[in-house]
Amino acid sequence: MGAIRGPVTYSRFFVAGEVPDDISAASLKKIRANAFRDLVPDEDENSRHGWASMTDSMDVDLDHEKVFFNEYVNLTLRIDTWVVPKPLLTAHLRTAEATLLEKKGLERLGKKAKAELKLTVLRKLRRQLVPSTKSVDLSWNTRTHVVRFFSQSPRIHLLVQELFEKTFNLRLVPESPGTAAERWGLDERTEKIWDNLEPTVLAEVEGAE
Amino acid sequence: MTDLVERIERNRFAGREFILWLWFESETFETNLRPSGGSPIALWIETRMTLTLEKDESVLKSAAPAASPEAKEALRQGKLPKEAKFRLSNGEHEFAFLFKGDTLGMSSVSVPAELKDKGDEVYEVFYERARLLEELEAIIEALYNDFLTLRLSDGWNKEIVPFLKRFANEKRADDGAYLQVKKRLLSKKSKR
Repeated sequence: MGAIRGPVTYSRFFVAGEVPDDISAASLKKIRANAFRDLVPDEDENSRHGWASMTDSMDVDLDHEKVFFNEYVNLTLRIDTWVVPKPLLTAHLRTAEATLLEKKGLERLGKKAKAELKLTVLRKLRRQLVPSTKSVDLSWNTRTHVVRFFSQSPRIHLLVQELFEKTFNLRLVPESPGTAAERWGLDERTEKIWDNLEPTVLAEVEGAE
Repeated sequence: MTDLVERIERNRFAGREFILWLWFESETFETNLRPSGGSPIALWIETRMTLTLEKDESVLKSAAPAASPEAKEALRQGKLPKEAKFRLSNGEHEFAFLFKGDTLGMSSVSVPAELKDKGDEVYEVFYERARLLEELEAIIEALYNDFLTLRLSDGWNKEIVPFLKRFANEKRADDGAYLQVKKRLLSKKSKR
C-alpha cells in the first residue's frame, strides 16, 4: 500500500547499474516470470512472494499497461503466508495422534512419525484456510533512478532487494546518510573528512568552561 | 558487497545531526529556512521527537516538543534526535512527516493531495502523489546538501558547533552572525 492509497510510509532506494533504454521491452518477460504464484496447501513452502499489480494485488497477470506508467515502473510485492493458529494445530494434532496410536496399537510415536503427522495435519488445515496476504507497493522512477518502497521493515527490504535484482538484474541501494553523502558528490578532501567523521558532542564536559 | 554495506552503514549518526541542525535552523530563523538553490520554506517540529544516546532514550510528545526544556536538556546530556515529526510548508503545499535520521526514511507522510483513490482515475491519483513526494524529497535533499557542506567544512567544529552549544544551553543564537558564517562556508562548496 502507499503509492496510490493508504498511509505514506516508505524507504528510498537507488538503482545501481545501467538501466536499459527500453525498460519495458527488456523486463516485462522477467517481471511476468517473477509474478506472484499462489501457495499450495500440499507444498512445503510456508510463505511465498512475487510481483502483483499495484492497482489490484490479487491481479498477477501483469502486462505493459498495469506496470509501466510513463517513466515509472509500478509493482506490488505480494507476500502470502500460511497462518495456522497454534491452538487449532495443537488440538487437531492431539486428535490425529490418538487415532494413529489406537489404529497401530502403540503407546507413543517416534520423533519421525510425529513430524510426519504434524505435516499431514498442517496440510489438511491449510486446505480449510486462506493464506494471509500482505502487499507493499514499489514505484521506480526510471528517469531519476529512485525507487520508493512503501515499507520500512528490514525483513521485507531484503525480500524486495533480492526479487528486484533477480527481475531487473540491477541492484537496489538503500538510502542512508552515507549513500546520500555519496550522491552529494564527495571529492578527495571531503571523502577523507567523511571517512574519519566523529560525532558532534554537545554534552557539557565537567570542568569545561 | 562489503564496500556497499560499509557505505550504507558508515556515519549513520550524521542523519541525527541533520535533524539537530534542522531544529537549530528552524528555531534560529523562526521556522523560515532557505535551502540553497530553492525557494524559501517554513519548517518546524511538532507533536513528537525522540532523542537518544546509545540505549538511553527521551521520547517527547507535546504540541511543540522541541520547545520543551527537556529537549535541550537531552542535548546537554549528549543525546541527539533520532527522529522528529516535521511540518513543512512550501508555498501552497503543506506536508507533515516523521523523519528518521538513521535511514533518512519518512513515515506517516501527509501530502496535500486533492485527488482520492475512489472516484478519480487511478493513474492521476498516482501521478499526483508521486509529484508531491518528489517535491518534498527535493527540499529535504537540498537541505541535506547544505548540511553536508557545512558538516564537512573546516568551519564545522570551529564555527558552527559553538552556535549549536549555545542553542543547547537555551541561549538564543545570533542569527545574523550565524547566517554570515553559513553563507561563507556554503559559498566554498559552490566554488569547488
